Amino acid sequence: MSTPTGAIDVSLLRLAAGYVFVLLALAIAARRKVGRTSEILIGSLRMTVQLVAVGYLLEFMFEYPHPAITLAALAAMQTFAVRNVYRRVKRRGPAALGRVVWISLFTGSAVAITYFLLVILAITPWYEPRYAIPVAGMLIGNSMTGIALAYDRLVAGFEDRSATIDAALMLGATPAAASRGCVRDAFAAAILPTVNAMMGMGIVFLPGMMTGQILGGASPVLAIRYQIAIMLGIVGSVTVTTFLLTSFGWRAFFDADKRLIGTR
Amino acid sequence: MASTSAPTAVFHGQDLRFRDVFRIERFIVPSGAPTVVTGPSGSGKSTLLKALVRLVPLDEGTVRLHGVDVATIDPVALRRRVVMLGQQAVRFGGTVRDELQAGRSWAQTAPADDALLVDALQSVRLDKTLEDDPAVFSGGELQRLALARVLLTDAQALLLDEPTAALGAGDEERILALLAARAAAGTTVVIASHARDLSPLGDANVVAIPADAFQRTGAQR
Repeated sequence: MSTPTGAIDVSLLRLAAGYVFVLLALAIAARRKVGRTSEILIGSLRMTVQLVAVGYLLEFMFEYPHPAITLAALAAMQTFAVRNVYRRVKRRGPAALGRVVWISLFTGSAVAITYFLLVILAITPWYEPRYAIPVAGMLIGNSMTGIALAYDRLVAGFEDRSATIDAALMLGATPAAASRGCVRDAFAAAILPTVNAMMGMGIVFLPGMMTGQILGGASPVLAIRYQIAIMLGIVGSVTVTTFLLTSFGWRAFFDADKRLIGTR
Repeated sequence: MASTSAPTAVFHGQDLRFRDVFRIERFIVPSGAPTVVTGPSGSGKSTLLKALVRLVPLDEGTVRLHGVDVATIDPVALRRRVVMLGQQAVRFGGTVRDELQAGRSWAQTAPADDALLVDALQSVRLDKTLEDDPAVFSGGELQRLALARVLLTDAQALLLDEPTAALGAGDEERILALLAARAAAGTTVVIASHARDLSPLGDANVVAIPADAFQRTGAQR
């Protein structure tokens, strides 16, 4: 493999030496009878196979850049993210909330990705996969976490406060006004991890993307400039997606008669 | 529906059914005197009140408010004309003043003057100031606070679900008398209540929902 930026090439033989760590984990797990040996094996196997496959896929996409391929990859990532949201949430909300998850994640991350690629990075062509794919991956991944948190908090809020919301409706509140507290809490909970990540960044930990760039031979100052840009992009994407989810999601908890669903 | 309500009826219900909880042939709420819905717990008193403001979907039947089918009225507009007080006294947060104003603010009406708020506290026999924190109130105090809140709204009709359940006998008597006076003054008052001494209400109109499993028929006295 070529290393144009002067990164140290990890030869396959030395990479194989890395699996010593897996053997170590296996040995300790077996000795301590943790019973996780098969998971460790499958985990490291999956990690290897998945990354090799993605590596070749990215190599192919970088070689033959085409707008349709980039867009298809973005759509695939978004679809995967929505499915992951469902796997992560502990509570099931009303069915209509599921549609809001789809719409919020797709449109919210699309807006943030477009702005990031066209305005902040200003790449040409806009679909250049070397930039579009990793950027989209980071924005979508963080938005997915935000959406899952917002969904969970919204459902929990409507469960916990159903008596208060009912009382407000009895006094002539509009559903929008009665939901305001739940919406506010869900949005705050969803953006909290992103805000905390910004607080600790560079002090508590060096973000993965920056570390990768530095290992890849980039100057730390340039790597940091990218990291700041991507962090701002993440803030934007998480904000827009969770704002969409919470601002439209509350409607899913009311029916046409403007009463809470699932209450009597 | 061909039947029209009598001119004095505020609410007129016909053949009301909710699942197998209740079936009520005729339900009439006149103006002037309070209406009491009685019946054992589980007979559907709360559900009936909620159905009047479309917080519960009836399976059959029509409810008319001054002759207009409530299903044709916007639910929020309906609930501003007909305010309901649930069995569970709820705090929205803030001081006694905030709690009292909450009813008016949910309905998007202008806040009431402090003098009116103090009057309302006195009328429900709640010896508190407007700055007090309701978080430390007892169940009975919260119930009176919630009652004062609905009395301060601009509603034409009040649906009160067990408004005196957490109160002692003396307080209960005074509050029932207050509600009777309110009804005489022109507000339509409907009270859901366990069988109890209702004499302080005076000449009330009583709707009994019987206990027997199905074939429940609302008998009007």
